[in-house]
Amino acid sequence: MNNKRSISSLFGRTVLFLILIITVVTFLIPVYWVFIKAVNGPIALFKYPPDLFPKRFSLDNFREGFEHYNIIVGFINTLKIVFINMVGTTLVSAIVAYGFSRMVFPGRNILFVIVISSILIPWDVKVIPQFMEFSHLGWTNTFLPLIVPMMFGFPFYIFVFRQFIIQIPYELDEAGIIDGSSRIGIFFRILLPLLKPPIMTVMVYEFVRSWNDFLDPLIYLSKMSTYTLTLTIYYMITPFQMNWGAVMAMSSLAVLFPVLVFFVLQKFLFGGLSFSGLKG
Amino acid sequence: MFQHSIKKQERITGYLLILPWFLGFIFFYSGPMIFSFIVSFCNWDYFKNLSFIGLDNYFKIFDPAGHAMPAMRRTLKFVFLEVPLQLFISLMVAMLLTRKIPFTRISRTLIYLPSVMSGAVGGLIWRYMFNTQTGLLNYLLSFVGVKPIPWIENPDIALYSIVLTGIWAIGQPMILFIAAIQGVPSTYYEVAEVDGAGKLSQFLNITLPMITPAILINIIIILIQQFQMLAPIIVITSGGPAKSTYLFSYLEYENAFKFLKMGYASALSWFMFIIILTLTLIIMKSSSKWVFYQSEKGKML
Repeated sequence: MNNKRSISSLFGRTVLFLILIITVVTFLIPVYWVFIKAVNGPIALFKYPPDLFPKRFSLDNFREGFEHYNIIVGFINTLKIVFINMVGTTLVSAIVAYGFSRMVFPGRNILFVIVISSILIPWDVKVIPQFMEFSHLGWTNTFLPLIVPMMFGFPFYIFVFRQFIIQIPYELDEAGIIDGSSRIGIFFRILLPLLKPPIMTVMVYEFVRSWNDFLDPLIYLSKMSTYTLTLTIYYMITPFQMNWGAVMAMSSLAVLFPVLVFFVLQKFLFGGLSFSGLKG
Repeated sequence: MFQHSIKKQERITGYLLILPWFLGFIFFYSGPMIFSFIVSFCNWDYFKNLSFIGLDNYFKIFDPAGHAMPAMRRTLKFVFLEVPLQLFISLMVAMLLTRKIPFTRISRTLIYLPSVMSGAVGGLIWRYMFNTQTGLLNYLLSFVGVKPIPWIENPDIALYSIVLTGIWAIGQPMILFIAAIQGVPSTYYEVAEVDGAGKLSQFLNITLPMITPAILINIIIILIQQFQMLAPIIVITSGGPAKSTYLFSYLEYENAFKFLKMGYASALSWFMFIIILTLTLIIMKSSSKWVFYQSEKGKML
């Protein structure tokens, strides 16, 4: 009886395992294809039937991309924006979250509800008014529209930090108060070192978000010297010319960095979601 | 007296600490949004003078001969396909990844991968794979005898192809579901096992009710995301062919940033906001009937 049961359970697990393999392969198709086509050389692009496994290796597509398009400029621009945003928004969001979780002041809860609600304001709704504002300030063709709003803290990150801070015992703060530290001193000396997990979570999120951002650069940046990486790749395709080989090579680069960051730091990304209390 | 001054000091420090967020909220969220609400009652071609035209922009949205209503119908169709599909598939994948089988950890990472790709770059890759004659998808389907599908060339199919691309990026809801499923106490299953409940019955009577909070959050997040889905449309179809993928967000984008019709675009964005808000509130309101919280603490706030 027992034996029969374990055999059927083994069978069940094998079936599940096969389903798992099929699922993973299906999800990886677009990622696999961009990397394969990038290193497969220009001729193979519209070959039919396509080679599912590349028969030759060539970096011609990359050479083509770097020679004919401003990829390096786009790359540097993207790195600048990503770096400033990662440092700035993480620090400010943490400080704001500290205020929301450790200070008692009238209106705190209602203000925090506004923070949460503004996570849910769709991009479409705020982009048009923001565009009117930023272009009046003369900020088009600069990185300011992509950076300045982030420097005031980002609602979702404030939420992530706040959920973490309220789990840290308040006695630590009290010890600091007794020692005569200022509140901001307590934040930097006592809490900040404990905030490594949410800091990593927020930084990974912000890296992926800033790196992949396409719509804001599309709207605000129209001078070639200000293009970001994704924008450069998008403009590689025109009605008159579609160098798909170069596009795939450059796309593989654009995909590679978030994928690497994600692979190395994924425990913070996944961990962040569980401690942010979204578990329910 | 001393106590009192400490409290007062804490109040001031509190306000100072949250001040950056508050200023950002005024300057980048509420302020511009109030301004756009005013502009939505005006005709404003951005460079030319602006004039008050009352409700004309809103009448234009409801004009049966205009673009806005068909675009909203397409968007609703898209959203009502995408939300259940993403929800169902991410839940199934999460169930699979929480079984006791080998390689679930690395599989979780690999399935998440398409979600860290940008919508624009991912869109380009899809556009390349959708090619009717030489694309990868039709080639793979030819193995199972399917004739070439004109993925983004046929107006009857294009919208569904866009829906398909969304199903690949389900990393976020999947992770929330995995965390929720793992949060169900294993004793519940042990008791059900003793009572002789089958796997399906365990899923329907234990897992599903226990993860309803995660289902609620996922529905709301996916709903809001899909209403504003725009980058793949710009990159893959530009609203074509024959306007079959001309979604409301694309209409808004064109009016604001190509035609610079700021008054009309503002009205469009407020119309969209009200629809999203109404749907979100209906879902939240209904949640008291179907969402099960283990404790008060489990709630979002």
